[in-house]
Amino acid sequence: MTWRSLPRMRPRSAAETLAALKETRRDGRLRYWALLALPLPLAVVALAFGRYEISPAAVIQTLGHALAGEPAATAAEALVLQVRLPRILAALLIGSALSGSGTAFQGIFKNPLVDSNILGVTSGAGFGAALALLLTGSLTLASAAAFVCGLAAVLLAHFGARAHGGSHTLMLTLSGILVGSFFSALTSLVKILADPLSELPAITFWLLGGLSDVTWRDLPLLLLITAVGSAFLFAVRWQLNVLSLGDREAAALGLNTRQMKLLVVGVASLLTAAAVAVGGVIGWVGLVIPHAGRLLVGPDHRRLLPISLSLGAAFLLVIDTLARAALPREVPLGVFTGIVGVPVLFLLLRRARGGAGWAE
Amino acid sequence: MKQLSVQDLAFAFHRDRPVLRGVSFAVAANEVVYVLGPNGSGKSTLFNCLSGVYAPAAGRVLLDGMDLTHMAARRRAHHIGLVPQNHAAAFAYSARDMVLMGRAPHLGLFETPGRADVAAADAALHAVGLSHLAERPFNELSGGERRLVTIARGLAQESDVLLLDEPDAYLDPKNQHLVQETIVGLARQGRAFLISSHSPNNALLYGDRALVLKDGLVAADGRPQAVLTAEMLSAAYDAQMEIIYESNNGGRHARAVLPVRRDAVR
Repeated sequence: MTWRSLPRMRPRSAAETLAALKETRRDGRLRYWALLALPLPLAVVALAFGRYEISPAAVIQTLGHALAGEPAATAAEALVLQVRLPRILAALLIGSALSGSGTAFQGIFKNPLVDSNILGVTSGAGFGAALALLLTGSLTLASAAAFVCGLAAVLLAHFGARAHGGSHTLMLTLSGILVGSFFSALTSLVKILADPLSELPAITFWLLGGLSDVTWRDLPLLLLITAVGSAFLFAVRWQLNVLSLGDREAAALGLNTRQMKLLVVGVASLLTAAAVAVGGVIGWVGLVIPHAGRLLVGPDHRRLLPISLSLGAAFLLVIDTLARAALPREVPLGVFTGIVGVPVLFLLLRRARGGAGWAE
Repeated sequence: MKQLSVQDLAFAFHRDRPVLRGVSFAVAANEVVYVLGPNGSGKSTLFNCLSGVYAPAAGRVLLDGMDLTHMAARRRAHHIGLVPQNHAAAFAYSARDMVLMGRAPHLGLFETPGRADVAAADAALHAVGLSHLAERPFNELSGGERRLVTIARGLAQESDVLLLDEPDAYLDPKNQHLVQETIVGLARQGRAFLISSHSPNNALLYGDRALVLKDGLVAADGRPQAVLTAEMLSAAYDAQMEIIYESNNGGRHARAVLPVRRDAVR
């Protein structure tokens, strides 16, 4: 008997054929490219949007002038170029960084419930910023301290897991949770020590996240890290599929799992640290957006990773624009992402009903 | 390939408790070898050492004289593939995407599968008779279909030797039969299959050879009809077993292995 003469397990039914056709249409190329390009038109609208209204046409004209090297001629042009544009770029970059790193973390931890804070990056960064604000009160130093302490937290989690040995992924998760809790406790200690009238509000506000203080100076490092980090994750997007099978299978398929995971964890942590350093603690993006992406284009990281990057950018841009323009008082981003992100995820999950792209 | 030869392979998690204590055997192309043995006898460890998940403490793995023991993971995966048991992916990849992952050893760090890889994956799915399920989410397939898809992934890997970790576990009789008939059919195409199993009956029915492990050593190795005797199996499993024979043309042919019940009415 050869495989040719083997009985098929199940003949293909009409319903299956229909489902397959629907699937093809659902994952259409047009939709994929539209989703990828989504942040662009949103950015133009966001530039026009605000307490001081400027028409989208005027925004495009201003951008044209700026690209031609002409200085801002009017107050409206200055507003667009000096205030709104850096903030919008920061929102796009931070959204991409958080969502891209969340996707990568979920992939290598083969767990759809983890986000960019799984290894304590955000908690470490929060502590660094809080300490710097307590000691110096400088926002620039807070940013730098957040970046350094965020990466220090991941290193601590990494070496903590190595010291234990055993199943690496499990130990890394455990170690990350411990390090995160440790830094959260330290942050609480800093808050207790802070002056409740001057330092504590600054610390609290920073920890809730926000982009109101972003200037052009914040952008070069954020742009560099986000661009290089995203490019790396994009390049290994298919390997993320293989890594998500687990260490044993990925190793049997010829992957150097230790080295690959170290690289991916390192890059994803760097992305998160850069994002937190500029925007403060902005939760939910790294958890919610990869899920939304999976519902839209499926779990294959070859499509999911690019979509996560653009969807994260679009999401944070919309949230930040609403935060600065739609309400009478600016709402911290970390609060808004939770208030908007959680219901959105609920709706997405209700709609998905089982087809959410991860296993039961 | 012509021959996979395993020489004095040893492995231990803790120095004083060795799992493999010098395992030696050889497998030729087109052979289906059932690796039997009680729980803890070292079957999974043997497979993990062969596929490079664990580094053996001593011994060598040779393929046509080429030493695979300390070969880089990617190169080794060209020669030996592993089909794990009881697999569920964390994310709902399609069957085709699952099979496509078998192409990993053929792709560089920053490469994604191209048309030739997709063609190889589709051919592998066709070889196990599941082309019609290519687009379906892997996790929604039945146990037997999933087993066949992971076997297809092993085929897409294009390695010379495939290690199958209990492909007959958790399947109903029809699917057990289907999966193992598929393997036997595929083995006639130049590959060698090593199958770990808890069923001596399946070894009798489908195997060219049986390799019985006990306490990290080879307890028996040979044609299933010849080596799977009541004495050997009773000693290996530490439980009294009997063989049901069928007589044909004056000879006798083992058909089934059964445990002996205490106080059984005979």
